[in-house]
Amino acid sequence: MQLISVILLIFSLVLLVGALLFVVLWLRANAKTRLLYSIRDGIGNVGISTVVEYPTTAEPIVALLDEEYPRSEVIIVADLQANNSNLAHLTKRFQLVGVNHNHLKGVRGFYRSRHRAYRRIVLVDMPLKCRHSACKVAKTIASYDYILRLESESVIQSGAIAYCANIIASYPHIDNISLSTIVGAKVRLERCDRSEEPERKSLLTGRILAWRKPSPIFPIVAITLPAIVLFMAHATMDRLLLFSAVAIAIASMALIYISCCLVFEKSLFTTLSTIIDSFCRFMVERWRIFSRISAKWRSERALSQPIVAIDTKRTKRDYYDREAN
Amino acid sequence: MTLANEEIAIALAMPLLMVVAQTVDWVATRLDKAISARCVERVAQMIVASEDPSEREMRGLSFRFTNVMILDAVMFISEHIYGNMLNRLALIAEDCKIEKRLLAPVWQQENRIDLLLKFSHIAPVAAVAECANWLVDDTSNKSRFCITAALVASRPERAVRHIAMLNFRLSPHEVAWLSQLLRRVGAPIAYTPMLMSENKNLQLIGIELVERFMAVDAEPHLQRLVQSEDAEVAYVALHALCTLRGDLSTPHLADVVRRLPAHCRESFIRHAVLACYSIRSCSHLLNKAERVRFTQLLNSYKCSIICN
Repeated sequence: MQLISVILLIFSLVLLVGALLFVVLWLRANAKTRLLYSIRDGIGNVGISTVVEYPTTAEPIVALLDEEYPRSEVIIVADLQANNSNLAHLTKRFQLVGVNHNHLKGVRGFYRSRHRAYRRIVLVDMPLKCRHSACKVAKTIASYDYILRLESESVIQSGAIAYCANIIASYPHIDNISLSTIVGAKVRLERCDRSEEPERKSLLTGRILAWRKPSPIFPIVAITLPAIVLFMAHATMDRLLLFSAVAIAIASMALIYISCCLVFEKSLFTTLSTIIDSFCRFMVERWRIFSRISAKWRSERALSQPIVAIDTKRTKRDYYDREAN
Repeated sequence: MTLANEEIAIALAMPLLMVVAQTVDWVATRLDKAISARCVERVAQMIVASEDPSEREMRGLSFRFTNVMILDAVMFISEHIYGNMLNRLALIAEDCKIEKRLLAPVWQQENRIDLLLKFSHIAPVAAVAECANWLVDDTSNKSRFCITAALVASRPERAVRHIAMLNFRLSPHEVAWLSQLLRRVGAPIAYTPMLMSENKNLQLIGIELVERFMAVDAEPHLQRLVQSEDAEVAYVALHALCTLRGDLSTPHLADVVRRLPAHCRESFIRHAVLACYSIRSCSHLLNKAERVRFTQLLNSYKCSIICN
């Protein structure tokens, strides 16, 4: 029981430190990417091509078409033959016509719309096995300088494209900006030029740019876990469990604070679920960085130790003979 | 073992906190939206009325809604009107004495920038110009930009002078914001003096206005600015030239494009394709690999194929 209490205490302290670090990073990201005013008309030559890779529903696409920022387009990479029931109706719904695609490798079909309302859509029919080159093809055909990659089932937050464009326009045209978000679905905005630029400025924002389908388990666990640990502490009269409960409660409140600040159109429950999902991703990334650093440290330490000369001619038999003698 | 009341309270604190926060947010948002909508409706009615609003109506407005609500309503409406309607809006803001009541927190650094930017929406108001003049010596770039915006909004006839006094380079966001402001307040926009000016900020704003209004008669100025030593001005002028579908066959353009960084050249290719240039008109500006890239983009039907 003592061992469980200690493990739980360590876990809760790690959670608490992680949550506080998450809040600090979020506040810093918010401060750095705070916009005084958002311009919804086109800003100079700033344009964004959004890439949706292999979506299973039309919801992400419709949300992107609702964006008001004029210099934006939607590039959908999908396997029309694999997912006939869900996406085959896209060509009919958006009045897409096939156009020439001989210059694109690995592409089965290429569609654009003749209807004014859907002029921003570009549909690329690529087999699912060529998924790794979907982004490369999207960058090849993008109309604008910046590309925004969304996860397959994430729905963009209203006004996110205009927000990204305003952030990019806060820096000189010649600068190479990349933007990602610390909360919400994973979103990455970067230039679509194939040449590697050494002076890339990586920005982190504290706004939710896209939403994933929320899992109801996360907020329920966040709310009830401190109570459960507290009950256990009371039942066993264990002080370590009490400290664990307090630490977990503080961590949960930190995440609830961020959720309250970011409540827009969705409910607090949904926002909290998204924030906890982002927090889990954040902790996993930190764990990976920590593992990499510790592996590097161990290898450096091993290299710094003196090398012992090994006589390769001596065999095991010689060794035992010597010992016997 | 029974639990004490305090322990039960602590255990239930988290779920209760969630429920209370959700309820407060729901109620506050709904109430706020409803009252703001009423305020916007009332201010809009006063603007479109045949006569100027009476003193009784002004007092009624100040009594029913808070200054912040009236200011937000004024800001919202000012984005959708221009010209003479802005004068009536400024009259409403002045009569409600919004700016005098809100000027006090302007001296605090954090609120100052937000408020000055909000004030630039309720032009022309004399008190705003006075306040902005007091703060003109502020050293922060953001503050100076917001002060300039407030001054441009309150005295549009002196816009060029105020912008020329800025001693830092404006970002594309700030350039777009100022050009939008100039269009909204109905300032006399003469882009030719801006393009001929030595001030880089004025040149950038002039190019933005030329691109926005598709002023093809400004092409000779753009051809001159493309050769500018300032890389940002040259790049923006080149883009504007493409937007206007100007002549790219002039001999100096090849040197200009060659001097651009690689990612700017890619951006130029994309923009030229969107502007419906043919490969023949741009081939002398590009190397072999870039011509292939240009052709690939052209073949992606970047030009509009819209029929209806």
